[in-house]
Amino acid sequence: MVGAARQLLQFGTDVEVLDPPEVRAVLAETAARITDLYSGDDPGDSLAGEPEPR
Amino acid sequence: MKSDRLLSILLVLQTRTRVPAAELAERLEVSVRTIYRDVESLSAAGVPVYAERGRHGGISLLPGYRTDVTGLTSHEARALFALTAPGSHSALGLDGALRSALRKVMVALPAPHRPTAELASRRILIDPDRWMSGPRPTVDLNALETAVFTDRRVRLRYRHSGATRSHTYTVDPYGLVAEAGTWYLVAERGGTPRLFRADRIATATVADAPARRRPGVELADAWESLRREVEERPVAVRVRARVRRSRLDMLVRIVGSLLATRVEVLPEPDSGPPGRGRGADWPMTRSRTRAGTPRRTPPWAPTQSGPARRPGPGG
Repeated sequence: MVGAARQLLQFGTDVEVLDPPEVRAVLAETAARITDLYSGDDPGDSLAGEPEPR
Repeated sequence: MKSDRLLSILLVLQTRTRVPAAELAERLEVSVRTIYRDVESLSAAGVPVYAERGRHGGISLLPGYRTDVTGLTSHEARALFALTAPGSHSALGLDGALRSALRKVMVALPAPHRPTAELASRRILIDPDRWMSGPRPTVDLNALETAVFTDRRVRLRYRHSGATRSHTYTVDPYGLVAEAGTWYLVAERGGTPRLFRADRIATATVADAPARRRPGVELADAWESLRREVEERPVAVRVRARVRRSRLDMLVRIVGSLLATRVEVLPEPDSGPPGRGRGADWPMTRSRTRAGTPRRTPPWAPTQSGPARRPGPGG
């Protein structure tokens, strides 16, 4: 259910969740994965092994 | 009833210049003699109607004569013309019928009321679609409509939200609902009314068997309870967040429907809290809980609750 807060990621750095920490953690983790997704040189390659979105 | 018949005669005569008495008699399922007696009654009531006997004869109204037979007030006419926005009826194939119906109503309106009604359609526009809803997938409501109007069961191949494969169900329809431009079939499956998004129905076949709905449950009742189910999901998570002021309206617009609490903008404090992001660009907001008590939170943070509401019902 905490995943519902991912909706707020669409606002980039214009929205910052202050608490609870679990939500901050989920957002940070998702953001890190997004960074991974886009930082590779091979488009379309990075989704391998990604878990289904919750 | 005689008064109904007199009204029917008047309506027919207003659309045609001359109608043979025999035709009126047939349409209204009475004898020609009765029609002539009705014409006399109308005449006695002050309606300028006259009968010409003979081979080319018939019943006519004095040319130009109109009555306020529709009984519509100018306010009612305005409501009618403002309400009937184009679009939502096209899926039912009723757009053309709607336009011609409105033309007829317009003609039947007493002359002084016509400008008001016409103005309503020029000055009020109701667009049932949401922003950026994109090109609407064409939905074939034909079979569903038939099932709904003939009270038959209907066999659906339906793809649930997020699913890659279709299921096959035989359901008992209550009716069709257009919600914000999206069509849904409301039908009983497995003992409960459910929503089926029309654009995810791959095929629909009307069965011979009559629909078995729950006695006493109408479409409006079923819709109301389904709607409540979608809207009243428990708040799953309460978060406190701060929002850049210039993004606040957009945030409320985009995820506002998912929020259980209202965002409240507070006056800016003299100096922002220490730390990141201070300054005039951050809105000074806080939230109210559902009970309406202001929460004691730092004055620069709105509380956002993201309940587990699915973006679209009908899953």
